[in-house]
Amino acid sequence: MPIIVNLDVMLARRKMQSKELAEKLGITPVNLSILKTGKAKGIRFDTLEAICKILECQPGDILEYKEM
Amino acid sequence: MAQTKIISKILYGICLVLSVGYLATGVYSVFCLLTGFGITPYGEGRFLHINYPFTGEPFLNVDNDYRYIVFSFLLILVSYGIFFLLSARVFRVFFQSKLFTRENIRELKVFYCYNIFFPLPLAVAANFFVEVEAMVWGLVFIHFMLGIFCLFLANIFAQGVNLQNEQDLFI
Repeated sequence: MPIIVNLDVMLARRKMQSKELAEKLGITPVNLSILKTGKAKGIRFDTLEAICKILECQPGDILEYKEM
Repeated sequence: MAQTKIISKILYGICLVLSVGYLATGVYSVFCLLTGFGITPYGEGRFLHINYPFTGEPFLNVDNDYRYIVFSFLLILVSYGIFFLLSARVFRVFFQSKLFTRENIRELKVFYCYNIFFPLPLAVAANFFVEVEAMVWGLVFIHFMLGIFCLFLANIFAQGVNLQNEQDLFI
């Protein structure tokens, strides 16, 4: 899929662990892993908003379009 | 959905009780007929009373003929015992926390297979040995239709499982 999820990069920049983010988002670590590995079919605006709020970033920092 | 759960719980209980009743009666009848316990012949030996346990009070009346006993009595008791057991399991599906699962589809599949594929061969087999009443053929048809409805329901559930799996990938 040409949409890349750069959640790992943002987590590393904020020095936050996946488990901590999952807890703050109120989703399971498994679901966060699905999102990080690009296996998710979509991301809800609610989830994206919460990620941006927690990681203090913009949606563009999380999602990237790359032509394949 | 709360209404469905309440109704299905009540029907689950009723079907389970009916199933236990039919199957227990079947087992008790087989025991009595094989051992002669609680059996009282009447009508010059043409009929039998199966008495309530440890009493002389008639519980069931049957013809003293093995074809009648097997095809018009025991077969009905056992097959309806199984039918009510499977019905109870289908009703149990509707008060589970997660409705669309592979296990629930399996319960529906067992139920529709039993209703579609069993009644007709049983009625045809019984027809060779005893006189099958017209009402029985009507029941066979009703069970077939019930099976078909359940088949459609199982297909809807299968679609539901696919949609749910897809939905689970939206984070």
